[in-house]
Amino acid sequence: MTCTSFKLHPLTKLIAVIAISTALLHFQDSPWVFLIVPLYALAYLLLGFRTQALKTLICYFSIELFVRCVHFEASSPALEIFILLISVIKLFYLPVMAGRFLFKTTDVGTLVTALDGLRCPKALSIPIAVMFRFFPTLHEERRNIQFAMKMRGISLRHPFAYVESVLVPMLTISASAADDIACYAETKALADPCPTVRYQKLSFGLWDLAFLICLFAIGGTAFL
Amino acid sequence: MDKKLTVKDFVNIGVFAVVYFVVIFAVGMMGVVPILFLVYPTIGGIVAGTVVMLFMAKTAKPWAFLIFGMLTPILMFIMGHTYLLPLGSLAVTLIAELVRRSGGYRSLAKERIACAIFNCWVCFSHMQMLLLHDKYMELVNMMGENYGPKLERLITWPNMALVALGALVGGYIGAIIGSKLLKKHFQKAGIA
Repeated sequence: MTCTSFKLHPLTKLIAVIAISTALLHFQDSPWVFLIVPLYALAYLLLGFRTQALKTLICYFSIELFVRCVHFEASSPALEIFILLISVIKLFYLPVMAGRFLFKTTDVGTLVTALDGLRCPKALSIPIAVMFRFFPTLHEERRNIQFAMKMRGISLRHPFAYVESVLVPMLTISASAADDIACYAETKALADPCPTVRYQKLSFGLWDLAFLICLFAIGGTAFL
Repeated sequence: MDKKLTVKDFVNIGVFAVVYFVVIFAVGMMGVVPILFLVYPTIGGIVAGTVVMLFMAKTAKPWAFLIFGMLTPILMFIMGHTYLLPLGSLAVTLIAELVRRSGGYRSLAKERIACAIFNCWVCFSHMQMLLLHDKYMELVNMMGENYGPKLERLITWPNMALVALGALVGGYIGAIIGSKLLKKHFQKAGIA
């Protein structure tokens, strides 16, 4: 189920992230807060991310079910830490979900266009765009580093060797990726002071309005 | 040397901010154990020192460090922390930037001191509990019945002074380890 006309402005997504994060305390007690999760799942679905929509729903309701239904006394410190970890995940699930949606459904070009529209200085818009692009790359590299460490038998039993084995390749890869991205940016004439021509026009539409109204209506229930 | 920040510097800021955020976030997970919550700025400083030192070596220009240093606190603010974190971080990062400037962005000793000072921004995630007590306790109490009271007993002004000292020392140790690793791995490879 993909709706080709469904598009959300990057700033709508950003406003949603900030709104959810700042209202975090009030959200947690609201009985209607769970409706935010299906709202995001629907948005994923309309954009064609079916697996992500399903994952978002399953993860949230599994955690919610665990927290609400499983009541046991923490008899050991390890169990106590486990319960605490689940609580932390639940606490930050909504802002992380909203942030993930922003990352997954926005391409760098659209984000830069949106930030330009806000008259955001280059000193801020370029690092933000790079961060956007680099998070998934680092996630992929982390897996490769972990695999290499497993092959070499490096584990947390030797913490110094472990940290060195993670940091050195990660920083080497990052430094060379930074050089590559910088070359790419130069080729795209990002440093050129002349006015930039954007291929895509961004504007707030009815979908943005509908999304924000739904979000604030659900959020509003927490303040009633 | 051209002192104006170029696209290459902005790209470096973005890339290293991601690495720094990931490292700090990974180390921060140890904070689920209340007593380790106090040690986390020290350990974070030791581990992340290498990232900060490599960034400083690659971007020896004014204001680059300030932008780099503010990205992680802003990201954490967006993720639900209070406004105290970006505000406190701004003050600490500005001091670190000025220390770097006094060394002309080339003095290793000043870079190490700047790294140690910068590492203190993490303390503001603890300070929230003292300065915005009710708001923060509301958040922490959602993490379980036992966690909040345990943490509340630990977060006191004398303990916070120790945490800040630990962050300074951790940051400095991290900077020393970082500069040693830079010499061992990155300078030979032509990265730093």
